[in-house]
Amino acid sequence: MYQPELVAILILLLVPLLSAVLLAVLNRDNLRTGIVGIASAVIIATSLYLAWSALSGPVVIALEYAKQIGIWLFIVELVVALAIIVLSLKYRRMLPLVLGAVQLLLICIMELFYAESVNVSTTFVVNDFSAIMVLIIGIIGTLICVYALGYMKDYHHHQESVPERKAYFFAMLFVFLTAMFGIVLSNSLMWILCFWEVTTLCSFLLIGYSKTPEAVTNSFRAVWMNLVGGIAFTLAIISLLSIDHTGSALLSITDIIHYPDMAALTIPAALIAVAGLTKAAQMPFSSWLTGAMVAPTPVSALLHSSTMVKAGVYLLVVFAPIFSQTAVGTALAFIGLFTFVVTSALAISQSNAKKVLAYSTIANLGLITACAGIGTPMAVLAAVLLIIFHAVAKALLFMCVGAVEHRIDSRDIEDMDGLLVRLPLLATMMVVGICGMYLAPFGMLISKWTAVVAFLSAPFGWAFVIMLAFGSALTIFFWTKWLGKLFMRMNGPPAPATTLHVSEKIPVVVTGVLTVVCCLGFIAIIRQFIDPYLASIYAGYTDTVTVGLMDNLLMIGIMFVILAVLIAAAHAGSKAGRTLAPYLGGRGVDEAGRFRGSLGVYKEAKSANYYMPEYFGEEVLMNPSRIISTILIIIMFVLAFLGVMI
Amino acid sequence: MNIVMAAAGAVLFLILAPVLGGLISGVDRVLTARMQSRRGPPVLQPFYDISKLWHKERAFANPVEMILTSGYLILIAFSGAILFSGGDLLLVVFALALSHTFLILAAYAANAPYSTVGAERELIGVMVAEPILILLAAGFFIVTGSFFVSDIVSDPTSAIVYLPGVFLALFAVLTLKLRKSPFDIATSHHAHQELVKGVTSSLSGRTLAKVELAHWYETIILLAMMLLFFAANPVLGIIVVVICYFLEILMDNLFPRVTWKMTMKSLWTVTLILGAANIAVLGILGGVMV
Repeated sequence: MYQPELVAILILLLVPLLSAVLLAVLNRDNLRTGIVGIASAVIIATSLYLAWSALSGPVVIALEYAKQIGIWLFIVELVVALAIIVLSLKYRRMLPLVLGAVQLLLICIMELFYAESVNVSTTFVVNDFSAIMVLIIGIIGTLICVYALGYMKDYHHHQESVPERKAYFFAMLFVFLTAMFGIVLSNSLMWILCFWEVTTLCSFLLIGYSKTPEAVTNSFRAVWMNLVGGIAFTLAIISLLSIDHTGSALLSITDIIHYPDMAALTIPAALIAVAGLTKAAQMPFSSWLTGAMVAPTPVSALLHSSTMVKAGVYLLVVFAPIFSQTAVGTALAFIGLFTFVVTSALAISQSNAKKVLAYSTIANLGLITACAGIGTPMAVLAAVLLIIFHAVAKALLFMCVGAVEHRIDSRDIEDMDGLLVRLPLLATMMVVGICGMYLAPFGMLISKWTAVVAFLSAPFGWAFVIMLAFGSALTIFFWTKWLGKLFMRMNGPPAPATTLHVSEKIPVVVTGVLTVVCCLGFIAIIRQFIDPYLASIYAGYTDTVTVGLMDNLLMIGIMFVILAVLIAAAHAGSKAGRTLAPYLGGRGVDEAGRFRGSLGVYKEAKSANYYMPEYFGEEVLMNPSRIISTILIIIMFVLAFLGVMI
Repeated sequence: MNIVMAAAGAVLFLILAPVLGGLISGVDRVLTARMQSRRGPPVLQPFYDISKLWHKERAFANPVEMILTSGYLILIAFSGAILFSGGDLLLVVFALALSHTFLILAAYAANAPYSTVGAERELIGVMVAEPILILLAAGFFIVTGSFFVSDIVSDPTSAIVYLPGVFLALFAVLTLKLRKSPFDIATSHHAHQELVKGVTSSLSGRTLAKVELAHWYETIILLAMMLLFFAANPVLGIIVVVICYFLEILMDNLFPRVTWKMTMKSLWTVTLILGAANIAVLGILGGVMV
């Protein structure tokens, strides 16, 4: 009989796929709710089980029929490439067409000339890092799918011109989950590539859901950029295959990161880096992710938090040991930190909540990329922490913004004033999410602390720390001004009670609680998951690197207590004292906070946030940073071809 | 680090910092007045102010201001307590950012134009000061190998030898942090600012008293950070800090019309040229050779 871990893996891969088929066929709202609910429960339970079994050591599974499955996956890849080509033809898009054709050609070359030598003995490896990824995809990913149930009902009320294709939509979401599980569970790069391409296709189809001209354009932008990554990935595999053609091919992750001659790996490393950069939407490939926000919000939530972009950084973090020894890694770290600074600045100039979230995602992924590029144990620790905290908080924020948008008919931050009074639950959760993204004592404190320590011991660490210092100053600005809007006094009467779908409420509250729990339990996460992972990757790793963090436990704990007391006090409220009209420079002000105009008419006093487009606008920053990041990528390849080591 | 010593440091800070901070504020006001050919208030005036504010009627534009200003005060005091108990500098910096978030939220909460603009500009102030504070922690780490104040003070060489640029950049940012300049952010006691007390314009009575008290705490925290550069020679350190503070008052009176845009540009330039370059030089030379 199969061992239980293998069964769990197969459930994770096949249940979403099966649900996708069912969802595509059974297009009825109550059936859909049932299928999504059951599938989600199964996936969450299985992810928990698999992560639990990975605790006692990596789960390593060799499949008998790996070769045959490989052929099937090759066919899937062909279908994906052909689908992209056909759609490019249909919509007459040149660039995706050419890139799709190149990709198709490369896959065929790879399969025809090299496939014989491919023999990866272990099919699935669930180490502690992939266990974390499984939890993120399994829990956050499915919660977003549940959220989509309620969201899509409202979506089609608000967007009446968009044809309703819910069956297709939900099927795609679940295919996405399968592909993500495939990426983090497979050990062979060939397999990962296949699932990688599936995520490209899925995101393409989901971004274009509304079929508006903007959506179509943005989805094709996403697809060509991700095809660049796919091509780089394929080339990386081909170059790895040509390194050691006779013996066992260098295709499994476990073999690659323990390969003795790292100097031979600089070129594949650079290609992998490009693949990761595209999927993680780093500069200069960032525009596909900001464009992806035309899709319904669950798609954004999924792309930003638990899937797609996380596939990119997953790949980079997995290859961190290689980057740590090659100059390619340092170049990669520069690209990551550069992205972090630029996109944090860009976020300041945006008032569209989803766009702010998108830029902040790119910024955070930049930090993770930088940590992966540095590749030391401490840096990888920071990267994994960032992945966890970001996934939870960002999913929460997207779900809140989506739900709020349907209640106030706007996703503009300027329209969110007084939200804590107008929509208490959603706004509270939004506050939790925002705090989780940047404020001490939440996750960012721990991850930034670790990142600073990691940077300081790396080559060029001084430059990284300087960039981090300026970048985090910029993040403080755009998050705090958003937070400020939520706390504003409501001058008008509160909006009538609005109902939130149960399927929206549950995921939002659960993710909100998870955001706090992850922050409280970070020590357990480090001890149980990250430390063993680092020990298995880096020879001679001891967990002394985190000692400094442990010394701060007491202080972080006190900070949490202070916050808890303040929140409790705010909740209890104080009746003492009276509320006055706000101060308006001595003008006559009425109870509603309106001021007396010169003709004796009371007028609404309006205030708006600073966006400083003259410094941080897209027009100012976008083109220069595209050029700089492209130059950085070129430098990375030069270093790779020269084979520069550290 | 001895836990008793740590606790003693924290407690002493919590008790003495407001006293010292209030006195500094009083002397500041006298000196400023003399520079402007005025007589100025008594040195103890800040304490009278606080006591008067404390006994005023409780009134607010938004009741949540009470909690938010309390949060500001408590967290500022807490970050100082970390510093004086020999704790982690980076944590001090993060806790300071958290506490300022509370003040800014209190200003936003009023939903009045003056207050909001004040909040916005205070936020710019936080953004401008943040890089140098992180670089300061990083600089001490490069020099002493630790973020912990307890390790930094026990280092035999004063960090100023290696970090003069960072020190000067911190000195430059002090103008902003002590609420001296720019005039369109400032909540100082001078008549020359634009926004009628900006960030505090909607606060009154106790909420305002708490903000004032928090400011005293913060003054002491910043001066202590400057003193940290002279850990091996505290006497010299105190002399330098006194001179620096005097220069701040002088600068405030010489340049009363600095705007936030000028501040942002000039302070980030200073941070880059002095602070970041200092870190870069240390990094390129491969750290500190002892």
